[in-house]
Formats: sequence, structure tokens, C-alpha cells
Amino acid sequence: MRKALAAVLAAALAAVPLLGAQEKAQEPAAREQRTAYLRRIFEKDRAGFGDACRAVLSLVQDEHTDADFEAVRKDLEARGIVEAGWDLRADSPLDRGTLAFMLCRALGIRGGLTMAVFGTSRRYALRECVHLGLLPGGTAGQYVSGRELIDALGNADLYREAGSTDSLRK
Amino acid sequence: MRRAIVLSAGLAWAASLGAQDPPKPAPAQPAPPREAIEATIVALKGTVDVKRPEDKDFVPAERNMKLKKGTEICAAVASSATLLFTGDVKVVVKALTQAKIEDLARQGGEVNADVNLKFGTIEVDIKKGDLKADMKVTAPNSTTSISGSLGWVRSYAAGGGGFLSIRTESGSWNHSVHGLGLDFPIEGAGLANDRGDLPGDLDYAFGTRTFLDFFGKHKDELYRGRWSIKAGDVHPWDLPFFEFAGTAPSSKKHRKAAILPPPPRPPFP
Repeated sequence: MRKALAAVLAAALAAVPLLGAQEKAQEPAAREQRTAYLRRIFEKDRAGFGDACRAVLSLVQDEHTDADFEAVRKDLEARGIVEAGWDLRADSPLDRGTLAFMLCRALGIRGGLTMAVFGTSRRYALRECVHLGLLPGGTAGQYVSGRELIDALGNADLYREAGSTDSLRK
Repeated sequence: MRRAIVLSAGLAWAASLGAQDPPKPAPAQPAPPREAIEATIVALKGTVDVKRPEDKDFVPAERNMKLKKGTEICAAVASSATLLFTGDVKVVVKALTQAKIEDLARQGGEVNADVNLKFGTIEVDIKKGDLKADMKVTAPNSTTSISGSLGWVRSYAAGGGGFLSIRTESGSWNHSVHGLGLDFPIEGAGLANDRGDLPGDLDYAFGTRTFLDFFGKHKDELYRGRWSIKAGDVHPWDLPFFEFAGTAPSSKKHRKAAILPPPPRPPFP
């Protein structure tokens, strides 16, 4: 019995580095340059927080950025677009509430009475973004796919230029 | 003798039948040769990458770069590229767009161009010139044919490429949905929208078409007398209160000058 337990324990200990290796293998080998991240996002089922940070900073600066995640995050924190207390990594899945919060702060959307009184929260930022046509409906905790992120950024770009997300009217 | 007469009559009848046959059409002329042409990047903003058929991966786009059939182009956030297909056909690849030039050739007096829009927005500007332009924008589930036009086509990334928005200012457009056999022709200014403000679009279509057909006037024009405030007019709340109050008919500014002098004072103090 002891031998069997020891064997199981040894097998479990041996599997830990393997799991770590699998996690490392999923990370991109090198930082993507220029538009490569855009094409990767298009193929992803779930967009990452790092992808959104990079795209939103590019949108705010009106210039594409290839800076690494930490630099981008610090820049966004300084601008008030990302909260310092968020425990999110570059590969953390992006949810609609977080994306809506970032878009509201980046585009200077003040929202309605609730947001004006209680401040920007993920829940009400999402409501505001749905109302303005920046994001499709859903819940604040729902994950965002790569393609939805691209559409949301396109809508945000349109909103920034024209003050409306309706691309059919001037 | 009789046989000869019958034979000659038969021959004459056959000859008359032959004369009544319609003339055969002239043999069709061979189609002019198809000549591949190249697009040129005439303006760039921000970060744009291209992948030509000879490239293994995307490379940074440069001004005056020549793009041939099979080239892919990708524009990042806050970026755009203007492509000149010929002197009369201009395509602007907007931000957050990936597209591919599927076909680009000249055949006789006609230019054929086919742009496959994977996601994003392109602006098409075709001016009328010596060459007739036959352009198509292909999205995963639809094809839009354009001739002599200015307009914008946006293909949404989400939804499997099934959603498209088109806004046109001029020319002839035809939006054809694959698989459904539906064609939406647009002449001049118009729109086709698979995703957007549907009630707004219906109201726009109703106001434009129905009112024009029935009343001969647009909805806005018809009710102009009743609702005098139009888009762009200054509302009372746009002005400071006292400035607005000063515009009222009874205000000092608008008060008419007295025509008669004031009445004389009474004789007693």
C-alpha cells in the first residue's frame, strides 16, 4: 500500500513540470510586431487582456504601438483607462465588462445618470457601450472572442471619428 | 418535258427558300487579351503590412509599392492605405482591415478588380473615365458589384463574415448574398445593412421612398412648416438665457420705434 501511494505521489510530482511546460508552450515565443497580433486575434476564440490593452492604447494614441505588455499597462493606468487593482495578466481572458470599462474611459464616455453618480463600473460601462452600439449585448462576465474585439475596436474608431457607431450615416 | 418543268420549279422554290433564310451572323471577334495590371500604394498612414505572392510573410508596406493579384493587405489600429488601381479607381483600406486583391486585370476598355474583404472597411472611389471599371468586393457570404461610385463597405469580423454594411453616395451598386439568391441594387445614395440600427433604417427607407412616391416630397420637407427646427438649428438651450431672451419679439432689440411722439403733459403741474 505504501509503495502504491509512493508511486502515485512520484507520478504526480513528475507531472508538475510537464504541466508547466505545456503552459509555457502555449505562450507566444516572441513578441509580435506590427499587424501580426491583429491576424492572430481574428483566429482566437477568446481575446486576451493584453490584446485589448495594446489595441486600446493604439487607439488612444492614434498610433500603433509594439510596446510590451507591462509598459502598455502602465501607460493605460496612468491615463485611467485600466485600474491598478486589476489582477489580470496579458493572457487572461478578456470579458465584456472589462473591455467596456476600457472603451468608456478611452473614449471619454460619461454615460447616463447611474454612471455619473456612481462612477464607471464594468456592469454599467457595458450597458452604455451596448446602448451606443460599441459592443453587442451580453453580460459583464462573458468572454470576448477575437473577432468581437476587432469589431468593437472598429466601432470605437468610428465613434472617435464621427461621434456615432452607425457607419451608414454621416 | 414535264419532268424538266417540275424539276426546274422545284429548284426555283428551293432557291427562294434559301434566299428567305436570315443572314448568318458574322463570326464573333476574339476577345481582347486579358492583361494583368498592378495597384500602387499612393498614400500611407500608420502601420500597414502587405503580403505579396512572392513574400513568405507580411512585410511593411511602403509608398509607391506595386501590388499585383494575390496580394494581401492588413492595416492596424489608426492606420490606412490608399491604393490606386488605375487612374480612375481608388480604394482606401481603412484601419483594422484585412483584404486581398483577388483579381486585377485590364481587358480591352474594361478594368476588372475583385477585392476580398476578410474584415474591416474599405472606401471605393471610381470615377468615370476612358476605361470602364467593373469592381467587386467579396466578403465571405456576399458579393458587391460596383460601377462608377463612391461608397464604403464594411465587413464585420464576428458572425462568420455574414454581416456587411454598405453606404453609398453615387453610382450603381448591387449587393448579392451568397446562397440566398438575394440581390439588393442601390442606385445613387443608399445603404444596405446586415447589422445596425434596423428601426432607423426602416424609418429612413419609409421616409425616403414611400413619402416621395405618394406625396412627391420627403417626410422632412413635408412637415417642415409644422416642425421648424431642423438639424443644425440653434436650440434655446444652446444659448445663454439672457441672450436667448433678448431674441424674443417683445425684447428691446425687436421693439419697434414709436411712430408718434409721447402725448403732451397736462397743463397743471
